[in-house]
Amino acid sequence: MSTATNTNATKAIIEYDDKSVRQFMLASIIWGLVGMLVGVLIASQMNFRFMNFDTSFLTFGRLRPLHTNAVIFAFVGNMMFAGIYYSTQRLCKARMASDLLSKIHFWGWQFIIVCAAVTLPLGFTRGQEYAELIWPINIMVALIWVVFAVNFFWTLHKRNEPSLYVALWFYIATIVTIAMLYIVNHLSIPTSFTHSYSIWAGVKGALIQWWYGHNAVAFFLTTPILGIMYYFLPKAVERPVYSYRLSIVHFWSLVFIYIWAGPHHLLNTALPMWLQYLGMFFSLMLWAPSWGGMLNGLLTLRGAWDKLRTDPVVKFFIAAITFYGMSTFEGPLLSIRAVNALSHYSDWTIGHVHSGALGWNGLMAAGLFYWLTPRLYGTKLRSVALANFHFWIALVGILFYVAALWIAGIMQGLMLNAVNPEGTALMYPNFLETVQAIWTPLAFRLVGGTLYFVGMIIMAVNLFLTIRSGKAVNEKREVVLLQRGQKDTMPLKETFINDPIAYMLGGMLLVLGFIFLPAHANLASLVCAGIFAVIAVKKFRQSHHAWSHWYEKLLHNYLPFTVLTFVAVVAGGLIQIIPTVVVSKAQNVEDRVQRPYTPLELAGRDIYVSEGCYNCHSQMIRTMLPDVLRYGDYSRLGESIFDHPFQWGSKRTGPDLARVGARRSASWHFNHMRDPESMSAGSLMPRYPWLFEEKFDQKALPGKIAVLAGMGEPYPPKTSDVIKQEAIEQGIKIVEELKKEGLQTTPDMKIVALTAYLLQLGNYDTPKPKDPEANPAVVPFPLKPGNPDVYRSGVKTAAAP
Amino acid sequence: MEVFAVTLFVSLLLGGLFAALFFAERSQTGRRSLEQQALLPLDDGAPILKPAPTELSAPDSTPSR
Repeated sequence: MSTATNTNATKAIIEYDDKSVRQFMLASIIWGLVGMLVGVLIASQMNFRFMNFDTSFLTFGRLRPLHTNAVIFAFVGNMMFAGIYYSTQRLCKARMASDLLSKIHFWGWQFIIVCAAVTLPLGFTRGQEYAELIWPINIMVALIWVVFAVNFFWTLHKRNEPSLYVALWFYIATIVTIAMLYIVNHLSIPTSFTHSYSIWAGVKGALIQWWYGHNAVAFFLTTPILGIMYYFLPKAVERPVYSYRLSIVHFWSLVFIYIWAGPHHLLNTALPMWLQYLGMFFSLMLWAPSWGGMLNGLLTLRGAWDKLRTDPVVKFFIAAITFYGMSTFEGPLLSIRAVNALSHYSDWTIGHVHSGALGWNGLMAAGLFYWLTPRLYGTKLRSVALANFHFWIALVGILFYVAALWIAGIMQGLMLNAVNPEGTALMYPNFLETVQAIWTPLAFRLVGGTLYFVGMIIMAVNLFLTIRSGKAVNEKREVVLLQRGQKDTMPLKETFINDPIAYMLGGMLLVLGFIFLPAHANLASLVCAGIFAVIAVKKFRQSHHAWSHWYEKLLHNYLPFTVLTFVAVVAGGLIQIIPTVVVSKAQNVEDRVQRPYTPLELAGRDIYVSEGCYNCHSQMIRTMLPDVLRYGDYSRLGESIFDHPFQWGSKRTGPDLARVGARRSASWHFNHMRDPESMSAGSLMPRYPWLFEEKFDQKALPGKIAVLAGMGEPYPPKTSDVIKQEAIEQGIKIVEELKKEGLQTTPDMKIVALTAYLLQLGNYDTPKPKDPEANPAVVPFPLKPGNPDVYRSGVKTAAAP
Repeated sequence: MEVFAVTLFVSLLLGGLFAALFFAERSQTGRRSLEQQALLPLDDGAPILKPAPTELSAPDSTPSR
């Protein structure tokens, strides 16, 4: 049935697909409630250990991934799709290209979420943050993302508005970048239907994981929401965005710079120094575009600030944009290596993430839903007072949350890093002392999170009552049809060969020359970059009409625009990752190399990953005196070289385990896993009774070892029977050792495998010493890509035991 | 009567000026400002006053070009 009724040759009536918008919005609200409820539960586990209920599927290690995945991909993901579907149709003045693809997208995404909600509590995980979902779900995510992309770009192709508005640029960047990041980081080889090993190990895995992880924040939680801001804020305040030119600068600088910042998650670790500095520099540079975007949003309210008092939608939007500004100020601050030495692994980072997630994403979502619901159901918001109440309770909740975690993170960071004046001993050698010191701020965090969750419930009730008072309506508009001649016509030559691109590319190469070239040559490059910039500005002033015309033309051509966006985001990743990925393993070890796992240790490691131990324990001793004093000699690149996936971790709710093997006995681990408090009074760690009742999967071991050997790990060829026999023989040795302490178990139990894994942590071989090159201890600049990090071996750790 | 003449003259002058500037603006797209793009979210097209039935249209109902 056609609803298009030509009123004359160039006009038609369009009925928008608002059903998909409604579906995504409702899904976002429901999953948001689920994700935040799980968040409140796991926050309570940080104060009250009994909240783990001694049950496998309710432990922190398994539920934390559920919380993060639910909030990121289910709550924000569905909200993003609702905003994109609504605004793209209006900005293109066209219905979404295919109702079928929209349906597949919606139901496919919900099916993925349900699969995640089932598999994560069951312990099926890839063991990488925000990339935990197992390989069959990864494939579904990639397919559904492609469906979304096809539907979106097809709609752009069919559009009736010649120019692409700024919101669409951000959506384009989101779609192409997330596809690239997700696929590269999730490359795995399956060992069974529910298990796989990442093809990336050790430092390669760490670098790619945080290239993905950081940019999941950038391109899943930020760019689409910025697009939503650029569309819905002007709608809400009924005036255009403050500066369209500023939005151009905001977009291109943000998408180009963001992708480089990933290594700031790995500061002071075994990651080569040049990458750490690159990550830090680019994170600091992110301040400018982020604040440009924030100011562009806030100043859109010019002359309409009175709406802040009367319109809850504007309240939510403006508070959200303010939180965007605050969290994008805090992020670069935390990326400074000296600050990061204090903040990393602490609750400060968790507070920072939540000022973005609750403040920026959550409040934008609320503003969007309060604005959309009355329009999608042809009615009025049921209660403005309740919406205002939601705003204040959410705001107070976030402030409680963030302030409490500032206090907790800084306090614990200071305690963990405190050493005596001589630098020979820790001031707080007992890790648990620092955990107990932050009990009160963590309790305030729980209160803050609960308040925010209550606000979400209030919103859900208010919107439910609003929906009940109205009826679903699809908006219809009369639009002028775009003629065929007005469609995309920009050839590749015109896209790439022009002054703006030439000056941008030239300037970029010269700046990269400053970062990477040898001494003196780098300064020459910097001077050239300065001269080049002056010439570029002069040229722009002379021919700004031509430059503007080229950009306007680009905005009329979505394919060239998409290609340029992809080039901008791919550049940073290539320069950072290729030098690390192509280096051979033999070169990638520094002075220590990991011993390949025995079959039993491998089984134990898979249990460690499955239980989500990495959520609370790192395996990376940083090149910092307090870390070395507390945990042992700093971690080398070679010590995790066979780890698929790496387990460096990003939070220390418990202590680092990189060298725990030599420090604890089998019986200690046995008793500790059965009842942590019996070995560490005041511990928050849950009990793991099921590890004493369940057997590890012996049958899977030959297949797993075959996959690892296939990826080049040094496993000699052995038959399945030999592999299983070796596992049991090592288990018998551990059981006999336990028997001496009066502890009973059998060699095929999960606890035995896990103990075998924990006992070997910190073991390594020493490869032949290489040519003793000059190892400058000074800060490396210009940066010199390469592994191993010749600069870091100059960092003497005198206190190493 | 002079008042009428002056009023008529000035009005015609302003009207002519308006028309000249209007057509000049229409013909010279090079002078358009990028900032005009910022108005796109506020340009919804003409509203259809008749209440729309829900969920009836097929994707191919979007007029093709």
